[in-house]
Amino acid sequence: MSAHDSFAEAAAAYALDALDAHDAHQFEAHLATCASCQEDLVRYQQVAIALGASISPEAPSPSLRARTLARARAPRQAPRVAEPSIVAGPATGASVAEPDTSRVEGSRPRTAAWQPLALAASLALIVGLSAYAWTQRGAAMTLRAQLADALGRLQSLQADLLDARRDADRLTNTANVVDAPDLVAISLRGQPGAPAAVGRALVSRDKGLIFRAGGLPAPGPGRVYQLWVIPPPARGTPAVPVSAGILTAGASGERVLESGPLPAGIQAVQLVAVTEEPGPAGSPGPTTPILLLGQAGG
Amino acid sequence: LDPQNRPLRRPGAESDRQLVLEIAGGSSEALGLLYDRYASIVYALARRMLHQVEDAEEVVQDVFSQVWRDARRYQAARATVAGWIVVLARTRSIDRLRSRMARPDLAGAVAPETAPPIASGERDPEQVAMDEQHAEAVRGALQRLPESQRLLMELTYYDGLTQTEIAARTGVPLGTVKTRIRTAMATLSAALTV
Repeated sequence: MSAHDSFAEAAAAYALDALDAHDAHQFEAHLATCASCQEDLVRYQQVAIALGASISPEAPSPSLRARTLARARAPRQAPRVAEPSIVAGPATGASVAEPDTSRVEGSRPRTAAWQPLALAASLALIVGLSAYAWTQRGAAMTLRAQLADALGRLQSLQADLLDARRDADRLTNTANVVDAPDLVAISLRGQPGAPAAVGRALVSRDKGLIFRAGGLPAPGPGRVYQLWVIPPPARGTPAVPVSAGILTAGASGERVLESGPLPAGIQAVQLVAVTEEPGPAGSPGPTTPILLLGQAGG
Repeated sequence: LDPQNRPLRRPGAESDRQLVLEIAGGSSEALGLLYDRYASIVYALARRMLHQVEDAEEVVQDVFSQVWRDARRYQAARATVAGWIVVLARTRSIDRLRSRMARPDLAGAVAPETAPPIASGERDPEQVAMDEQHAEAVRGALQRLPESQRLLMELTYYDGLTQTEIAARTGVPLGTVKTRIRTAMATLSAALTV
């Protein structure tokens, strides 16, 4: 069986979320470069979806609908007033009232300035103006709420744009590393301090490195995980670990690092290791026992 | 198979994709309509996987909260709305199963007979906007799988076990587990293309 065959087998399990973290990481690294596995994965994901869709539907409790819609709406900050609400969402109501009450207070002098005129006018005029003022006040409230809504969405869109740019930079970097002609993959094994941990480094001298680890416990308070690369020993001098950066927590609890070019002076990597160090910046050199260790070609 | 040619929606109804666009624009009414279409599928899948009503209801709430939050990021080219929702339902259920495994809770071990059937009984087409033909194909193919393969598919799909966990639990060698799951998935995939 070729290496690709084993990954093709992994594609089915990956679509079912049935791979262990280490195997999933290996498959993801392969997937980025294999059109055949990408096609397989799409087919298998369709099966996974159809399996879920094939289940006999079961109606949940009728009260769940209101609870679900209320909870879904709760986290969103931007208020929406003009829209008819089908749920009496308390959070939405609060978000409308708070910013606008103070602003509408500011419109009161306009109403007050009409008072002398109102005193000299007929009762009908007073009633008419009051009604008009009330209408204007309501319109101002709606407009201010819509403005707050628009500003909220703008801020949200700006945040999304920043996220997207960061994602694009990260993906570009990842693609550069994965495509590098001198790419070396190094598997790391957990050491006695973290026997369940596994890791994988993809290293290119020019393009940098990608590192991912699973099974590491959360670092101690104020501590971080630091990645080290160790070049092959030069003649007569021992190899010295050089920091490649601090690992960050990924979305699924894994620890990741995606760096630019390798640290200055590093031409090749013999060993990759992870230790726990004081945060947030780590140490100039390892100060605690190695938790994960891998060797090029090992 | 071209999933783009299988719009999983009721004829005459506002398309799922249109509803997601409206949800992205902040329409809670559209979220309610999407809930009406898919809540019973999400709930049934979560019940099948988690057994407990409370957990399944939590999954329903998680799924539709995520739809509300992420509607703007939904990409029609990647999956149909129905597919997106099913994936969310299973992922959120697996999250709960795995956290339950990490913290065993005896109350979670409800007798299997209280769980809804995997793939039997009538479905109400007015209630659920799913591609009946598509689901029917995979349902039939699942029933026709050899018992040894179907058991593994159920352990991985509905019980959320990894291949390694299945091997440990059943005593079937890991290599055999991998081969059977791949064979079963290939068979089910072929059934969808017919």
